[in-house]
Amino acid sequence: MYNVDQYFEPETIDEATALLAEHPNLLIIAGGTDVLIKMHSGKIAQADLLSIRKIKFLETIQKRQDGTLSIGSLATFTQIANDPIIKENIPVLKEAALSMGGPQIRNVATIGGNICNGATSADSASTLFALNAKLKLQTQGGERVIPIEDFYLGPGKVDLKPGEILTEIVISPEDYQDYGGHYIKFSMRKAMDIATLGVSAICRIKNGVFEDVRIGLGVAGPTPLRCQEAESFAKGKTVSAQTLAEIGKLAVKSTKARTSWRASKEYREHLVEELSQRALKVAIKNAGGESLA
Amino acid sequence: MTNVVGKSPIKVDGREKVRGRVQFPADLYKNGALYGGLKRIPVPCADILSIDTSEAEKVPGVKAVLTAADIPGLNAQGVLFTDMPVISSKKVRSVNDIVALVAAENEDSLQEALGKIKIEYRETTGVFDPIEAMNPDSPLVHSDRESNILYHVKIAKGDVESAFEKSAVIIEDTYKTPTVEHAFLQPEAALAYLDERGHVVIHTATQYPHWDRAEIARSLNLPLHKVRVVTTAVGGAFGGREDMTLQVRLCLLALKTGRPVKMVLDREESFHIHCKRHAMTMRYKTGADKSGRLTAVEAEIIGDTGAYASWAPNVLRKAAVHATGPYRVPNVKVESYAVYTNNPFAGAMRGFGAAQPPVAYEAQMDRIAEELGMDPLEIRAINCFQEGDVTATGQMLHASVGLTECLDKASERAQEIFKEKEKDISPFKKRGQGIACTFYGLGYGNGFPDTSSAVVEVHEDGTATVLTGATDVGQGSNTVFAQIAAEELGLKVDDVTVISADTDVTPDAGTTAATRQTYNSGNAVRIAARKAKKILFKQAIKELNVNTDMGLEAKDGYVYVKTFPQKRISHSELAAKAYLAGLRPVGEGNFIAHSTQLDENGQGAPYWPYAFGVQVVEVVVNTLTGQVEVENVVAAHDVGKAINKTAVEGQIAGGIAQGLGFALTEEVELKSGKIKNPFFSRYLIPTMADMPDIEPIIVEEPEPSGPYGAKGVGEPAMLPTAPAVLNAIYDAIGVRIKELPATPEKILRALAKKDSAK
Repeated sequence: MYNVDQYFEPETIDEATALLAEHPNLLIIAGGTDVLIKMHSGKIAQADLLSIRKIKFLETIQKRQDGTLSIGSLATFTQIANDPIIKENIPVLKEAALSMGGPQIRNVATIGGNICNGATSADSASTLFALNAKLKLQTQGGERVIPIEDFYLGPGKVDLKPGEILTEIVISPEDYQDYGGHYIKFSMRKAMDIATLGVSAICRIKNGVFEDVRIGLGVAGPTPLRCQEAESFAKGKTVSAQTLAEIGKLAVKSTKARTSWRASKEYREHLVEELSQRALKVAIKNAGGESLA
Repeated sequence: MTNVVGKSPIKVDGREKVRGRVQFPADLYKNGALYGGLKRIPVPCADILSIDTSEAEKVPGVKAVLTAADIPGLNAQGVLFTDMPVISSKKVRSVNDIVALVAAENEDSLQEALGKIKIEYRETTGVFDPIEAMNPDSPLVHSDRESNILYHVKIAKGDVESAFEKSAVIIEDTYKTPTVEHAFLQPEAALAYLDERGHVVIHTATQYPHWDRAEIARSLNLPLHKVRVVTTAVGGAFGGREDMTLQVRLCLLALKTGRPVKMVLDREESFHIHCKRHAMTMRYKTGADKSGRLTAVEAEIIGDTGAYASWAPNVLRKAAVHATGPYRVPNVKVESYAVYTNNPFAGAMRGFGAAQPPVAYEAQMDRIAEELGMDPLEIRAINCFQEGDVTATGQMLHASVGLTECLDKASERAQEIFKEKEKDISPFKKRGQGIACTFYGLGYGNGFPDTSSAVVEVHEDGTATVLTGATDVGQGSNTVFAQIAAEELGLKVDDVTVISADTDVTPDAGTTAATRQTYNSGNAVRIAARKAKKILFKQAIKELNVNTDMGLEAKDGYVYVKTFPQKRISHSELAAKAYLAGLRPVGEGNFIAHSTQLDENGQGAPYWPYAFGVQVVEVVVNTLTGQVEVENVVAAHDVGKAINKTAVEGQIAGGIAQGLGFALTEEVELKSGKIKNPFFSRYLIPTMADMPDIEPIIVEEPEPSGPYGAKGVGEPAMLPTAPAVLNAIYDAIGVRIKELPATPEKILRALAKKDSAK
């Protein structure tokens, strides 16, 4: 339990990437709400830790002049839930952040950790998928920026290469401006629970027609995923109950749900069909569209 | 008029708890303490072929590796039967079994040594379904027994067959409740050592230190006076701290090493070491005449006690006695069984067998009402117990039956809350209301000597100390005792200190269980305080120059003549003078609750008194997802007398929380005897965010034998919640869930079945 031999606490990104280059075995820890639980349960028997908590720069949430939103990987869920930039520009992420854990966990858990943990149930992930978020990954030598969808490789597996640190989550203006969104976390209780299903829907509407719809799902497959078929269908369609019903049906096609102790495959698919429509209905309203019954 | 009783002074340990100063067992440290640990094998059912501890003993820092052979006394524990080994040596019957103990200088050595104990075993065929286990061909969980049926009780009254024949309506169905975990916040922990006298001392969180002492002494082969059990603050108990968990094992490690040893379990270990609520299968047949009067109840209740008996006979007896619900039923036939399986053992848990039958009988009541076109409230009103009624066991309810008042008050308030609300909130959100009535017989019952003792000493400055063995598990019994002593002596609560649950110091007051401490130990404290007061009054007779103490009263810090209150003396002055005169105002109180054994037909007066409760629950069910949201609970409970109103309201809120978990989310998932969800991330209890608005209504129908008329509320508070939730779900969407928990998926499946049946 908590078998830690080495522990580093750099104060700058350069120090951190240098340490990582020097000790490729280091496990990065931020809030610790995943790493420490894995160490406690023995899933990680032993680890040398690189804490990035002192790199204060990584806590920054900002909107650049061109409208690009940048969220530092060390921003906590509490911070995201209370941040005026998030609230004004992508309130759907605020909804997702508030659905996670309880106050104590939200105070320390970070969005970067939520992503790098690789869980399909990550409350921030489905929304970031829907927002076409990109991830900035830094090494000692340089950096790369990749779409969040490409980062997820499998259950608990992400494309974090040796020496890399996730520093920033970036959302382009064309991906969020004029969109309305809504996140539904379906779980067995209202707090301190892992999602049975997470649905994040965003849309842009003009003259009663869907200009764009994007739906991100959590726990509908081994990784968070997007509902491509439903999304392409929706484009250009009139906003109506029939369109929504079809979107719900098509959304299920993108899923690879399985039976787990939380829910059967059939029940999850049922939830996908119903909740993608429910989420989209609220998203339509938030996008300035007419509410549907 | 009472002075302190019936008010709500803050808990005597409230300030310390809020400031984080109260010590739970994990907070205790002692220089030189070793780390203790428990060794299990990863299967629930096996023959042990050999245990080799030699490699483990060689681990540096290891001070002891103990097996069954190291136990000086009886290698068995158990509250009724000694059927659970302290350390298993030949056979493992459940995931609860411990096969070795280790004490080491540090955590690393401990873990290494536990890993190096070599155990050869052969898995054997277990039985995990209690109904299957009743079959004579099933493998025996205890080979020295003839059957896995540990206990059977029958209650027979009247003639159910002919009553059913004459009934206008009969409802027959089977209901199931799962294995449930206590989920107290503080996992098991303890610190044990030998004191300077060589006595074995253990500090732990328990419900009954005197019983723990007996079990420790029996297994360590020590006289009782050389074992001391000190109860620390207790972080919740709910029945899960009645059986031995760490107590005997840790004391054995301390005895063998001569060093202090501390053990703190994590959540997963905690799930594996203490008992669970009995899963029950309840087959019911209920009849009524056309006016809705119950004619007969036939029930068969089968409880899974897992591998060890713990309290199983008492639990299944309580289930049988409460099987009809708080209703007049002229013809009754109940058969109740406790059955051994290789599942984790079941024992006491809040409700103690009276929590499961309401899930069945309250559904039956609603279904009879529906058949007859009656209101659920009406059918309950015409059947519910009144003073003078006779129960299924033939017991006369001669006093304190506040059920009708609970029913009236709860339904009245519920109507006020619910009247403005719509049933169809949206095409897929439906609101519903459900009601449930329950009763609960206090105490151990069945003629068992249910005794509490207390000592009250008034000091020379007039303040007082209460000594009693009763554990305050967080419910506030120490506060109640301080209030009772203060009331009797005419003091303020702050003038009284309560010392409880230390076997070296306090007299035995029985278990904090069976909703018995306010009633039993409260009575003992009251008697003790009165005796101490009587001695003070001896001096007061002289000081006030009166001829007898009959006209004297103690109140507000004075002893005075009731009919001439100007004639008075302050407590402090009186006590000082009494001490100078050689008097010592010390009183001892003993109280024994009365009950009789059931006869061969299950007839008798098995418990006294009975507490009653009615809850009305409002839910909103989402028909797209099956999710249930509980919006409101109105809870009326007849407690006899609330000694501390806030504490009673706290118990009601806590009971509802536990009842909601029972109704909607909680289930210990078992697969071939193994616990699949021994963590709070997968065993879901309600959070603050899940709690509805609660309106507690305290009904006080005084119990003549209770202190100031008090009965109790600890267990009764949770009993009506789950059946009321189930009835509310039915009211909302027309589906009846008969197997707890009512998960969204189950509800949705039932809805689909109902729709396809249309």
